[in-house]
Amino acid sequence: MSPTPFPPTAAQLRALPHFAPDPALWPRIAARAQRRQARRTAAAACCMLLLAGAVGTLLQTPRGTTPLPDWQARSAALERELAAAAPRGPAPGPLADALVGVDRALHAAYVRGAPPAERAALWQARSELLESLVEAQRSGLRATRI
Amino acid sequence: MPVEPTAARSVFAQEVPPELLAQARHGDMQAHAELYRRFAAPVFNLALRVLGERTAAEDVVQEVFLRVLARVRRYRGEAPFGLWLRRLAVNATIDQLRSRRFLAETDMDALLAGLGAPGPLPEEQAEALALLMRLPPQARAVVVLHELEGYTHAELARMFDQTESYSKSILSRALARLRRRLGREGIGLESLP
Repeated sequence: MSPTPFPPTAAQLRALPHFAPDPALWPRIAARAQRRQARRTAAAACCMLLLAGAVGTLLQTPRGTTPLPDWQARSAALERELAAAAPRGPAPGPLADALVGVDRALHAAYVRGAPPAERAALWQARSELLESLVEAQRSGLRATRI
Repeated sequence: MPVEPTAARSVFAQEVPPELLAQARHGDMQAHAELYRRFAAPVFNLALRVLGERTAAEDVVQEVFLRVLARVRRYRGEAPFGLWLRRLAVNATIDQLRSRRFLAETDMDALLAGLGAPGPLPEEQAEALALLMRLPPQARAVVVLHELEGYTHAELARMFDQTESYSKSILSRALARLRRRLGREGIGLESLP
């Protein structure tokens, strides 16, 4: 089967000239990609540290207590504080990225029915991240460094 | 791998060695630099023809190759790599079109000055570019994507969140406008549908 011919207009459009982008564009893209990667790595490290800290604290919590609602409520309160301090959302940076990571982990934990202790650890990590973000926002600092 | 006849003529429909893609999937920056070397100009030209601005077209190139760096692991080879990348380019171009206000007609002199063209373009190229740049940006998008890249009206309708008849009507009005221009300027009128 022969290929469908282009309409005649296309033949004229094929005469369009070809240009090249600025030769300095790729180095800028590569540098930006590397900065993004470094930020993600920092956020993941931050996330892991917070989770480890939260799990450690929970292991020391006496049995029979139910810390889950407290951390969840604390997280909600901090969320409101952050919204008041930064109506357009938190400044991008490792803390904001780590928050996204914890939110994903929380979602996954609920989807697979993770035990309350694990969810509590995540809610605690989320609260601590939100505290840092609120603090950074109030002090007028961009949370770009850990 | 079957490729639509029109898509096969696209500058994006070039073969990419599987080993190069494998290296890119592992985050090898040299491999990404090679993909950029092969595809940056097609992405730039597609965006430039639609947007009519060098900086906007370079923003598209940057966005597309950052997306390639982030998403190439998800590319499973269902379509040729170039056509997968072309889809990223089209989406980024349409995003630019939606997010910014572009002038109804692009000033050719300003465009060529911005591109740092070393001298005047050959007549045929200058005419083709001038004709295209006289269309409004959305009509340019439909003409470039339908006539040069081979997208169907159904595909264009999905891209622009419109009906197929909307895409057909934009194309037909754009072609009629080009035909009038060509007639007025005595350029190859007989070759238009």
